[in-house]
Amino acid sequence: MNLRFDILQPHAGRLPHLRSFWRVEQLSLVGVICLLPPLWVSLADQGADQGTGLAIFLAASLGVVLFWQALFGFAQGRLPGWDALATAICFALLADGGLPLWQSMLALSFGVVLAEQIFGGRGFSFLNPVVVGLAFLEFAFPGTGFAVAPATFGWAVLPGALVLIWLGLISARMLLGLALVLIGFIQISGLNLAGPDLLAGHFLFAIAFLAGDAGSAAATRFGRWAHGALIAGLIVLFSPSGGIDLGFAALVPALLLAGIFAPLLDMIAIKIYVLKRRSRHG
Amino acid sequence: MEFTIRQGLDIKIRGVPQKRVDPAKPARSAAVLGRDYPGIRPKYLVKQGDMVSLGQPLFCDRQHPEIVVTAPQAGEVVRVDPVRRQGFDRLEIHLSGDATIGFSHATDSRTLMQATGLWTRFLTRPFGAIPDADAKAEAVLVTALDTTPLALDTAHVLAEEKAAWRLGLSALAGLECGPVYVCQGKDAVPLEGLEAAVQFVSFKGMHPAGLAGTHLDRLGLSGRPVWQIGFQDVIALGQVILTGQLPKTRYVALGGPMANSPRVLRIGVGAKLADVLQDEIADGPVQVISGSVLSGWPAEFLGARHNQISLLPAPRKAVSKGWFGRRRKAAPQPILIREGLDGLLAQDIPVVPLLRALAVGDWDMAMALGAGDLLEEDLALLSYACPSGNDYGVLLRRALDDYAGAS
Repeated sequence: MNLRFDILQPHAGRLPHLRSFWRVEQLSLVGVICLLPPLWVSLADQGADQGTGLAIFLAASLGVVLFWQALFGFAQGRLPGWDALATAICFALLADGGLPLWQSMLALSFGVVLAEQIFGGRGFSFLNPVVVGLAFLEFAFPGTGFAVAPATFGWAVLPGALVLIWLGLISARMLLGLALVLIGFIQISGLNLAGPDLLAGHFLFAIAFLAGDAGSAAATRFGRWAHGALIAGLIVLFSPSGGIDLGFAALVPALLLAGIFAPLLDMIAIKIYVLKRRSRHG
Repeated sequence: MEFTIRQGLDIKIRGVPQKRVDPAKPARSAAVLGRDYPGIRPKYLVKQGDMVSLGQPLFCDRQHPEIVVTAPQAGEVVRVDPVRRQGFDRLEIHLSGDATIGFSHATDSRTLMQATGLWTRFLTRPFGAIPDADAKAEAVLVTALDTTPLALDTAHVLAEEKAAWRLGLSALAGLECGPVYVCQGKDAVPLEGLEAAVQFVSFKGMHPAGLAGTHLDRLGLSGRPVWQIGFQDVIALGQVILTGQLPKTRYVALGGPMANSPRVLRIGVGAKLADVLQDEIADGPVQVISGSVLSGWPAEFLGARHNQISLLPAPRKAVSKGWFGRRRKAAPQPILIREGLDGLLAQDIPVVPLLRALAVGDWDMAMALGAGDLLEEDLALLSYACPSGNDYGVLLRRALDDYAGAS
């Protein structure tokens, strides 16, 4: 059993009288806290000038996300949550701060509205808004770059990622599936990792906070393994020939496509389960 | 047979009941609650002002007059709620006197259980209804362990009531509804010398190791017509055979952070809790839960199938968020996937797809995944742990009712 930190919480209203401490708001807040080390490293790395630039970019992102959350929330009876801040931080850390602000904010709006809000918000949608936003940037403004990660970025991601795995918000099965397939490809093909180093680049960050996003990842045991394996497979597929690229060029389309397929993988797992069940019970 | 349940969660709550058994304060009134009798359309056999004896039929089912619900105590009927579409709320008796109906155990088990009203303690799987008077089951599951937080120590009660327990089990075997599986804790000893139909099975593990849904899954009975009954109702049946009368009291574990002295009480069946618990509740706002903290309900009277009363601190008033708050309550809440949710259901059903199907009202999907094997209590742990705060017990009940109505 791995639901950690269960603290009792009297609960108003009907059943259940007891609620676990870990509700959506609490989990979202922890998600934001887990993003603080990479944010800090990025701010510290870029020096005073660009650091301010990143802060402005982050503030603008947060404003955009909150605007859309409030607009749709007003219609649907939801209040903006901590996940707005998480989305803004992720986007600010990954998108290129050097782009015209309107381009990035347009991309972010596209992601937040089409991948999240029109489905009813986080938990109802099946795609991560940041992934969709980044994909929009890549397709709509070809040639635009992404943020350059500081050298220690991967290390800063680790504590938060471990906390999220520990809480069960990132599926360990998905990570294992991804790692196994990636290592398997490298072993079989003899290709080398191209692009940035594993710990220096954005790879770990994107896997932990975008692919593993509890709002949109696969939800069955088989689905989780397959989702991880699919991400790895697509990264290999989208890598330029001659290496396996852990940079954005392969990562963003791989995450987008794997995210679209995640519900299908779940559906396959469900169909198999239902068939097995029918044959068992007649 | 022995099974170890690996799934589950051990919720720690202050106020675990001690083994000591005390008589409870007498109650001034007792009630029969409509929600204890799912699927019964009552036809009242008594009216307000009547004097009733312990064991006297109060109402029967309209379609099946053999199925009666009897008075839990003797006294004057002071309140009879009208029967509406969704049933009735309660029938209340002001307690006085000791008048008791005697039952002859010469009849067969089925007739005896129906005459005493103990038949209505059966619940069917699937659907969780009271079985029809002439229905047959493929197996009967007796739940003789309790793994919920603050639960009653069943082994202790079984030891005290050994004679009645044995007679009750033997009577269940006489129903000829397949094997009688007695599901006990890991330390309980099987009784010797009972009919071959009575089989003792032991379960160990954290909650939900003590739920009938878990037992029927491990015994390979899912999807089959099975009846479940609590061990105290089997003891009551044994008491009827032993003494000719229904027992007046049940063993009830009193626990929770707001209990002055958490222990086991012998409480009158259906007793008014405010009377019984007069000196038991610590100062401060309290919420009295009849039944398990996970699947019981806030109540004024002891539920017919309940083995525990939990005294929890009353919840703080929900902060009103005005217009948003009201809208928010009505809307279904999103399910954030946590891997740990998988480990809270003993059945091998894919958990998140089941919860999603229930949350969005996709009953066909929920039933295809196996919701028919479940009752509210089986999902209580998921309602507790799911970040969404959805009450899956209520949603499952809607799904089951729609399905039972359609088939």
